Amino acid sequence: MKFGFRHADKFVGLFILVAVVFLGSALVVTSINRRWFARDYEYFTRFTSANGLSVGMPLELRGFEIGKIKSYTLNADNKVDVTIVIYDTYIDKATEGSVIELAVSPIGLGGGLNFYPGTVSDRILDEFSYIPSNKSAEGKALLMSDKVDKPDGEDAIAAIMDNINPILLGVDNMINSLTGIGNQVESALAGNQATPLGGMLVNLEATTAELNTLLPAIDAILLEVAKMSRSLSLLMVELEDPTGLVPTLLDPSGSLETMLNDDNEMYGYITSILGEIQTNLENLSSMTNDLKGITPELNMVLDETTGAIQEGKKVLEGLSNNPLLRGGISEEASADYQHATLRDEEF
Amino acid sequence: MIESVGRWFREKLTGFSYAFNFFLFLLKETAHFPWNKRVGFKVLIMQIYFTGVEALSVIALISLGIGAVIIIQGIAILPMFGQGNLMYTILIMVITRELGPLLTAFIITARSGSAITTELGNMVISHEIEAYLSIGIHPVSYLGVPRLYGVILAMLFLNIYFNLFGLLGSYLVASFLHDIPFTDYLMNLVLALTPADIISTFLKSIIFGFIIAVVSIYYGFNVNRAVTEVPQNTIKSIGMSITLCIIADAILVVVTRL
Repeated sequence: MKFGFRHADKFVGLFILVAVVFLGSALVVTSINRRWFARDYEYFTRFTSANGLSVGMPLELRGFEIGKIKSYTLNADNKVDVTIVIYDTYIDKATEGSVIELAVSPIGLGGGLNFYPGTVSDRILDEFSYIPSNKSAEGKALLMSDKVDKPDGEDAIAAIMDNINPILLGVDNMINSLTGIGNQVESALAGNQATPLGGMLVNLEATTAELNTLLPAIDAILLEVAKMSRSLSLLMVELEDPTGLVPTLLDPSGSLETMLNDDNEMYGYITSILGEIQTNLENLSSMTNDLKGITPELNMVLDETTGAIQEGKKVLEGLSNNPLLRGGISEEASADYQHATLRDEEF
Repeated sequence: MIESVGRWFREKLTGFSYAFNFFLFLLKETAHFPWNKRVGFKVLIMQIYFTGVEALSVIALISLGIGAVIIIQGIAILPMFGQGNLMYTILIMVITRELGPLLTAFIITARSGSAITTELGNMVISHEIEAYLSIGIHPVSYLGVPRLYGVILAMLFLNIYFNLFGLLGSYLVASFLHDIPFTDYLMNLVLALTPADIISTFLKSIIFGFIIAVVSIYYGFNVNRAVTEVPQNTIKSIGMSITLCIIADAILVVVTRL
C-alpha cells in the first residue's frame, strides 16, 4: 500500500492543523490590531463647527493615541455633537475636569484632537458623560483656572507646529548647509585653504599676473591696428571724395588723355611688338614640329650614345682593374635593350 | 422543426428537473452526513488527502510565484508615485480576496473535479452503483456526500495555504532584493487586512468548493452506460465548474463591494 494512503489520516490531520494554526494566528493578530475584543469607553463633546473633524480621527494625549472619534452629528442648536471613544488602556486619564481641544490649521496644514486630563480629582468620568471642549464656556473656565494638565505652550498652534516642525527642521538643515558653503568660499577667497577651491584661486591669481605682463604688448599691437585703421579711413575718404584720384585720372588734360591722343604712336608701337611676338611664336612652332619629326632618330642616337658611354665606362673600369694596374675587368651579364621605343614592346 | 424544438425543450426541462432534484437530494444527504456513523468518514479523509494534501505543492508554487511577482513589481513601481504602502493592500486584494480562491478553484477543478467525475462515471459503467443500491447503501450518500465535504474542506484549507505561501513566502523573495524588516512587513500586512477580506475569501472558498463538488458529482452520476460518456462528462464538468466559479466570483465581488 502506498505510504501516503497508509498515513492519509496523519497527513490530513497535519494539513488541517497547520492551516488552522495559521488562520488562528492571523485572526488573533488582526483582532489585536483592530481592537476587536478591547473595551472602548464612549464619551461625547461638543464643537461649534465640524471643520477638521473626521470619523476615526485620533484623540491624542501628549502625542499618544488614547482614543478616536466615533461619530459626529449636527444637533438642534446647530452645534456639533461628537462621540469619542477612549481605549481601555488609557481610561484612567479620563478624569474629571478633562478638556478636549480641536486644533485646526487655518491654512490647511491639518489638525489634531488633543486631550487634557483634569487635575482636580482622580475620579474617572462616567461612560457617556460630557467632556467640554476648549471652545465651550466650561472648557475655557477649566483652562483659565489652571486645573487641567496642559503642558506649557501646548495649544492649537503648538499642535499644528508639531506637524510643521519636520518641514522647518529640513529648512534649517538646508540653511546650515548653505552657511557652511558660504564660509568655505569666504575662507578660500581669503587664501586660508589648501583645498581644491583654494588651489583654484591661487592659480587664478598667477594667471591674472601673467595677463598683466601681456597687456603692454597687446596695447602696442592695438596702437598699430589703430594707425592702420586711420590710414584705411583716409583712403576711403579719398575714394569717396568727388575731387579725388579717379577724376584726376579721367580729367581731359590728364595722363590718359595724353596717352590716347598721340597720333597712334603708342598703338603702332604696341602693334609692332605684338607682330614680333607672333613671328617668334611661329618660329618656335616650326622648331617644335621639326623636333617632333626627328624624335625617333634622336632616340636612337641617344641610345647609341648611352651604349657608347657604357662601353667607355667598361673600358675605363677594365683599365682601372687591370691586374697590372689594379685588379682586371669584372664580369657582367649583358642586358641589351631590344626595343627602340616603348611602343615596340608586346604586352 | 416545431417537434424538434419541443423535444429539445422537453429534454432540457427534464434534465434541469433531474439536476435540481439531484441537487436537493445531495443537500439533504449533506445535512445528514455529520450524524451518519457509517464508513463515509474514511471516504471524506481520503478525499481531503487527494484534493488537499496532494495539491499542496502546486498551490505553494503558484502562490509563491504570484506573491513574489506582486511584491517585486509593487516595490519597483509604487514608491515612484509615493504609494509604497499600497503594496500591502494590493497583496491582500490580489492574493487573499481574488486570486487565492479563484486559482485554488481552478486547480481543484482540473485535478480533483475531473477525477471525481471520471471515478463515479466508471463506477456507473461497471455497475458498482447498482451493487451499492442492492445492499441498501445509497450511492449519493456514500460516494457523493463525502466527496462534497472533502472538496469544500480541501478548498478552504488550500486557500489558507495559498495565503500563507503567497503572503509570507513572497517576503522571502522580496527580502533578497530589498531590505524589509519582517516585523514591518507583517505589521503592514495586518493593517491592510480587514475582516471583510477574511470573510470574503472564506465565503468564496466554500462556494467555489461547493460548486466544483456538486458539478463533478452530478456529471459523474450522469453517465449512463457507454465508456465514451466518461470523458465527455468529464469535459462538461470541468467547463461547467470553471464557468460557474467565475460567475459566482463576479456576483460575490459585487455583493461584498456594495
